[in-house]
Amino acid sequence: MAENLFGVTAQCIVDLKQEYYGLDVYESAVPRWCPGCGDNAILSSVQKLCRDEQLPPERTVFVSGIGCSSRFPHYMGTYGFHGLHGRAFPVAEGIKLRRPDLDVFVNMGDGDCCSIGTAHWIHAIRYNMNMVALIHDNEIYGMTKMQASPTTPTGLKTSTTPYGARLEPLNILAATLGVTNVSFVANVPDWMPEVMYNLLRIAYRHKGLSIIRIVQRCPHYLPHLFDPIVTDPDKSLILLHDDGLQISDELAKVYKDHLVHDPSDLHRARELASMEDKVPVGVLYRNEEIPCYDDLMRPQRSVTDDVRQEVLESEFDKFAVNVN
Amino acid sequence: MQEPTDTKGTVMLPESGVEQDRAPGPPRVVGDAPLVDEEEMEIVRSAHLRFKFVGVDSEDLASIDGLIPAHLYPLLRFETVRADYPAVLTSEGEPASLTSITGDLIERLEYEGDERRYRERSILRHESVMRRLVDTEGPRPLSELWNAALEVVADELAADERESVLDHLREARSGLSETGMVVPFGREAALALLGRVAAERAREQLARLRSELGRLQQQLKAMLDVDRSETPEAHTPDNLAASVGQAFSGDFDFEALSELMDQGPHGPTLTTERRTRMESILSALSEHLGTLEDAETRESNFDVVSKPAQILDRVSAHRDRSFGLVKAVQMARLEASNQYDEGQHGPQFDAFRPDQLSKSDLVSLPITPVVVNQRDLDKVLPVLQECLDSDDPIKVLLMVETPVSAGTKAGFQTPVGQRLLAAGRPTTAIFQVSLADLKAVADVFAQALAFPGPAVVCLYVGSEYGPDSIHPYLGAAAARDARVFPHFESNPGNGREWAGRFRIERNLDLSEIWPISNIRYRDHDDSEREEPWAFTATDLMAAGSRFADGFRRIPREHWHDDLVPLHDFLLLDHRDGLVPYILMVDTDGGLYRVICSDKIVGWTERVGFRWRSLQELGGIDNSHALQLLETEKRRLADESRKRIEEVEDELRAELDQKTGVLAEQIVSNIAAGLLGGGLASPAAPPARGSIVMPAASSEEKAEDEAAVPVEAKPADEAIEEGIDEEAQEEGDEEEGLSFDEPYIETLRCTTCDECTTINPRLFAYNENKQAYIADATAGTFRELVLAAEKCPVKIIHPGKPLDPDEPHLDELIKRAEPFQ
Repeated sequence: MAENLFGVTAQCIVDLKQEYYGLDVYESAVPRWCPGCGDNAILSSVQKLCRDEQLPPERTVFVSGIGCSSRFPHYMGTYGFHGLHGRAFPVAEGIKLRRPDLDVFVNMGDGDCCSIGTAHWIHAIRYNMNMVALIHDNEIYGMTKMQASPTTPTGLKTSTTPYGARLEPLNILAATLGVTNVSFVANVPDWMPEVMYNLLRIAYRHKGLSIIRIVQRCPHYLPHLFDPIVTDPDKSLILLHDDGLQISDELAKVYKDHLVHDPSDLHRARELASMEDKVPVGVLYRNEEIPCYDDLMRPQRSVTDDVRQEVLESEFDKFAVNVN
Repeated sequence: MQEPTDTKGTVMLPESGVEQDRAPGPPRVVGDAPLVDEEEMEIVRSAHLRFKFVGVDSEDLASIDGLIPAHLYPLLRFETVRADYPAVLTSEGEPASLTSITGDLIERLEYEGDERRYRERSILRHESVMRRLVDTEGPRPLSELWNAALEVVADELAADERESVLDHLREARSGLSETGMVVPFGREAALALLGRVAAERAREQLARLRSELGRLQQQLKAMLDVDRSETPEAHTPDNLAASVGQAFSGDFDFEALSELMDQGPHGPTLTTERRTRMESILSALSEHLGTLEDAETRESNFDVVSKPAQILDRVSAHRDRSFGLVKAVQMARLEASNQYDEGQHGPQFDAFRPDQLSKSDLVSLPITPVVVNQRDLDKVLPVLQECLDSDDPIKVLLMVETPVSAGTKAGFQTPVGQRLLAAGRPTTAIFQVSLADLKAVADVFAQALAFPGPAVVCLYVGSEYGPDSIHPYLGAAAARDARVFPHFESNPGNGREWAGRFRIERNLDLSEIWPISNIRYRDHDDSEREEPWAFTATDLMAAGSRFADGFRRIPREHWHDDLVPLHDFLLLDHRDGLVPYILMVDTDGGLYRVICSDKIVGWTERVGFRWRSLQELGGIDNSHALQLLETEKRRLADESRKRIEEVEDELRAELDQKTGVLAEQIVSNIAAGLLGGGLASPAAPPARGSIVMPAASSEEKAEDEAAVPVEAKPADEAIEEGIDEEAQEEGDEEEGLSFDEPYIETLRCTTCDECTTINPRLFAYNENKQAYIADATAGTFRELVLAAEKCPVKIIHPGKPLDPDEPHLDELIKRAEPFQ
């Protein structure tokens, strides 16, 4: 294969109209999350991803539901849609279906996605549309003052469970891996910025719905919930693979428990998702062979300017008055 | 929906000139779905076949006006393409390209992150403007071009970003050390480049010659001076006084000295004839030295010749120039070594004529290349061939403007370089090169000038393309890559055999008939696709307008299964009913299939065959070598098979023998047991697959025991030791670090805002929005400790207090301990 036909490689073609987007381009309003909130770390990694992938702000959309994490679109210098509780997925799907050229990201909390939005979550996985979904899982409803969420640990006292939560928490990873057509699942805590960035990049480049569950600290209501994992690096199991996560030598010295895990192995991914003694960190599952709904439903007719005009004209005609 | 926020800090381009700055996106398939009515499609199919066979048009077939081959489409806005263009003929050294010079400027930028990217964009934008200016306004010095482009950039930019971009460029300009002339693509660039290379070569030759002539001149002068010093005239008191000089004239009695010297036995040894001859040679050498100095300072002048007589004049003039020089040098050498024999050499030199000069005599003086335009080739070719056959070291640059010619009866002519090659001149260096490859052209020029024999450089200058079609650079590069004007070097100076003298390595995809590259496009359903697609001679023909009659664009609704990509079509043995097509794109990015006539296909195949011949000469899949390889493989396979059979036979025989011995031994053991009375049980046979070792001698056992460690350490202890060593190493690594200064493990920062909220001057974010100590003196030790305590990932290390007078230090140091 000739990479430099005519003495020119793809890198030689400079699109000067294409601006360079620095980190500041993706920064918008000053985040109003509490100091120490894991959402800050997620925002920072996402902004870095946007800069490094040079995503045009006018062609990038962040969609969210309701909750602390759903403030996310406000803090991005891109387009955004701060929608209804639990309905981030349907809105994002609608955008992607109509505008497949846009890069769509979805931000949801554990309550937003896994409680009121559960049906949409399940079907979004089945639709497998080409988007990145971030589940900010702090295991509590923070914005509404500490009610138990579907992922709240057993025994945790909250304003809705004053005697401690009774039910086993929902395992987001295992549940996601159990749904038909799942194509990408990763897990990362917010205090590993390098891993979060690497996983975001892998997820962004994956074709299909990439779900990243982020273990996120709430410093206000549950400041010590994750202390056992934060303070003991051995509680994290780093999943490494050539086709998955890779980490720097520096980080490998801190987090020494590594496991080579082939992300194409769904059965093993489910086993890892169900681990109780450690937190698996990395790509649990990845399969690009799963069909994407946005590809299946792609319009057969190109939407050219002429087509747009024709449709607009016909719509306007409905309001026209026939003077004859 | 939220509106995107402002793009402060980005390099925004003005609305004007948007079209020319925008690199085209992937082309897209346009048109309606193919017809489903079989009868209608059959009519379409027939029309396509009619066009293919005899070029008959039908209604659905459209011309290819305004279309360019799909491979060339991404390069449509050529000023934004960072190709090896335009050439910068620097005052010294190899020619560079503008792209490489600005690339060096970018490389040397002392900025990181976003700031670096912004500056990089400014330089690239400026480079693009310079490229455009050279194309539209012609050659100019680099410094002048830089300034002119700066003005254009300033005009094009919006006011709010003009200053920052101009600052970037002014700063970059200070790093620009190169000087030279920037020349647009074409014949002038080729001649300028040839001028530089020829001048460089001439400088080297003239320096050598001048050194040789100077040495001879000195020798002859010294001989004459010595001889002159022996004459009575040299011994007069006045001459002796003059030879000593005024400083010491009072110290000598020159009268007495003169008398004394006159009494000596010495006298002049040179005859008057020899002295006269030597003086005449010296005069000739001086004259030639003067001529050489003139030649060195004179600019090379390449008049384009268009008549046969001009070539002969050039050859004859060079011979005459060389003749005088060679004669003077030869005579001087003989005189200097006292070997000149008037009786023998006099008549020889009198009879010496310019046509007797040897090849090495002719290359002593720089040779001015002869430049011939392709359109004059037919007129001058017979004389040119005569000169080449005579082995005179003539250097010819043949400027090719149209590598393919459709005017001849044969259809399409072979490029002249390949024709000369086919004529089989083993002592002529023949090169074929496209001007798109600047370094190759310079290298080829240098080879041609250095070769001590005739040399022809066929250079494609791409001038048939222009503003209405593709850029001439692309035309020249495309001709090379489509194998229509492939690069080759046949230099007998590198060896007599083909393997030594012939090179085709500068071409792409050497082992393929056509180079293959991916084409990206959007399909009718808007999905993005990427397919490998060959770039063939047909694509090159479609790029110009001369062969437009051989191509027709067909709408998508008329696509059918009998349309076959041309590169696949060319590989088929049975082509009945099939129509080949290539992909072309219009200026709006619409992608079309374009069918081509049999005539075009036939010519493309001939180009492929010619390339195949070059491949064979260049040793790529050489058919003779492949045949030999096949024969050798078969022979080796036969030998291996025979050897395996022999080994099998040997092993079988050995097995049979050992089985027999073992059987006998068993029988004899049983017999001994039965007959001997003692029921000694036979030795148990060894376990299947086990190896029975002979018993070790006592010495060997002792040695073995000595080899066993006295106290083997358990595995877990060894691992622990390994870990300890590792820890020790880590400890060693960290030994050099000082913990007195506060620091943050920035890579692990989660951007939580805790520390920056406490004191934004003490703590700050870097370009990746991760915290570091911005100024340790901008805050208190208390703030450092507080931040360390609040940091959710415990990556802030307060160090030791800077201010010994800070209140409550004892308490703070204690609180800081867990974080050190």
